[in-house]
Amino acid sequence: MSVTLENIRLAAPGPDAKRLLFDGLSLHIGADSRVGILGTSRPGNGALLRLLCGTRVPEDGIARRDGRVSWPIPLSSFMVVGHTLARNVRFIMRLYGIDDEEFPRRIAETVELTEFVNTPLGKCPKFVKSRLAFALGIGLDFDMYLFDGSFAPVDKPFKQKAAEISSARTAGRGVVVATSVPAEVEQNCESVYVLEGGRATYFEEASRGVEHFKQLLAMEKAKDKDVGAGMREGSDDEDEGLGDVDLVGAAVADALD
Amino acid sequence: MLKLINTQIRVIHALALREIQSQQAKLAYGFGWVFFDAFLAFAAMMIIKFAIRGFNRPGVPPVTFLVSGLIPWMMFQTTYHAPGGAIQKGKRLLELPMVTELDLVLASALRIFLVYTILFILLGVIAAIVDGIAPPRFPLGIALLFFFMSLMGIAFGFVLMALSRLYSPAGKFVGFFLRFAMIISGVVFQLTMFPPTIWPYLLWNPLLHVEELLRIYWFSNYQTPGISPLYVAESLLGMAFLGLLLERYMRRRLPS
Repeated sequence: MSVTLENIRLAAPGPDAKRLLFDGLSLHIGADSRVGILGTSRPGNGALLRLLCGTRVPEDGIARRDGRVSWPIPLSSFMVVGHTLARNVRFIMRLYGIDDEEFPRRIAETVELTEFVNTPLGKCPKFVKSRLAFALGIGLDFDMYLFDGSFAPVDKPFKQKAAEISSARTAGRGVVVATSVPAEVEQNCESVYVLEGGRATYFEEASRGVEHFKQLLAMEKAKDKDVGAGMREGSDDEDEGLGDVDLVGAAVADALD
Repeated sequence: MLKLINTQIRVIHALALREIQSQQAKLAYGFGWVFFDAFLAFAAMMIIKFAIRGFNRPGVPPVTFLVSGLIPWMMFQTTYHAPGGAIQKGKRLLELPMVTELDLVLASALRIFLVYTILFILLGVIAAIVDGIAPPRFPLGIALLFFFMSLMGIAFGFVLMALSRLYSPAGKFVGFFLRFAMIISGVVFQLTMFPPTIWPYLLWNPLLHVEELLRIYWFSNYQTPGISPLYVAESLLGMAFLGLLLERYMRRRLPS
């Protein structure tokens, strides 16, 4: 089981389509490896996960995957708020050919949502959707699990348990965590790719990659400060813009330091 | 190969069921609307037909004639909108690795086909009672043609989707053209009601063949010259090939 991307060229989605997110990006994620992807750009991280699971097709380059790769967890966009939790789970069951009547109940039990099984999602408290999205992603049998942002992407009170569930489920399988929070990678990954200038740099030791990423963040921050100062002075210099710099992620990273 | 086909059927089934369940939740805009829409169109056509009495051919049951032409046509019209609409509506589902654009379109077309099949059977029975005629002569042929009409709608929808992406007002032009095409596709008027000099040109239209074949298989004494089931099959194959080819070509050019 592995996923390989070779010389990928990918444009940004939507009206910004002329800007390239990746140009010449190559990476390989082998079986059972726990790999982090650190990028300052949130759209970039998301796009890379979509490339890995095959829901985005690159403009150029080769994407090869064998084995079953999950969708980016926690994905909840397919859920219908008017449908009950059980009905939403059954949709995924049908899609993936799971023939087990007990599956919705088990999914609900895993994330302590048993009391909401027959309640329409729209009438449930906010945390239900995120827990369900997590439980569905992790509850299916994949060879490689992709995590978008966090290894335990749920509400705070349940985070510790979710991390335990993730660890147990992903033991002996591939894990990819794409984030802009270095602590997520330090805690859950062995190696890391740092996204920089549309390419990925590999670090066999996660700690070294994290160090490199922190330097990158500091540079981005300094650049933002310069741009801000320039604008305040009413400078005529061309505004380079903030692009997709994930300032929230950077702030979280700082706080974790 | 068999495994892939099985997976595709499973995905289409899951998507179609999800769509039907969503429609049940808002009945007024789902099934209810389809039935109301069909009733309105049917009533309008009946008024036109009775107002122009001269167009009624002796020996042809008027209500059944209209039902057998209008419902398949309405299904075709709804289905050809499916590719663009289903992909736009189901964009978020495309984030699931199992789901492709083709799955979304086929699931949407399946739902439309099921709804119009129920409508066709219901109105067909009512029309036969009103006209006091015997059941259809060749029900299997009618069912097959009805299914072909749905497939033609899908294939035509793919072609239209590709055209619309290259030139966005294309959909509006086609909509206008199809309103005119309804007149020459045998929905309200038989081929024999037109001057014989233009028959060879009208017979290029595969939808006219489907509509007239439906009547030939339904009524015992209904005859139309130049109608061929083989032409229907050939046109369907050609249009499906072109539609799928364009879908494959345009897939990479989808805005994400």
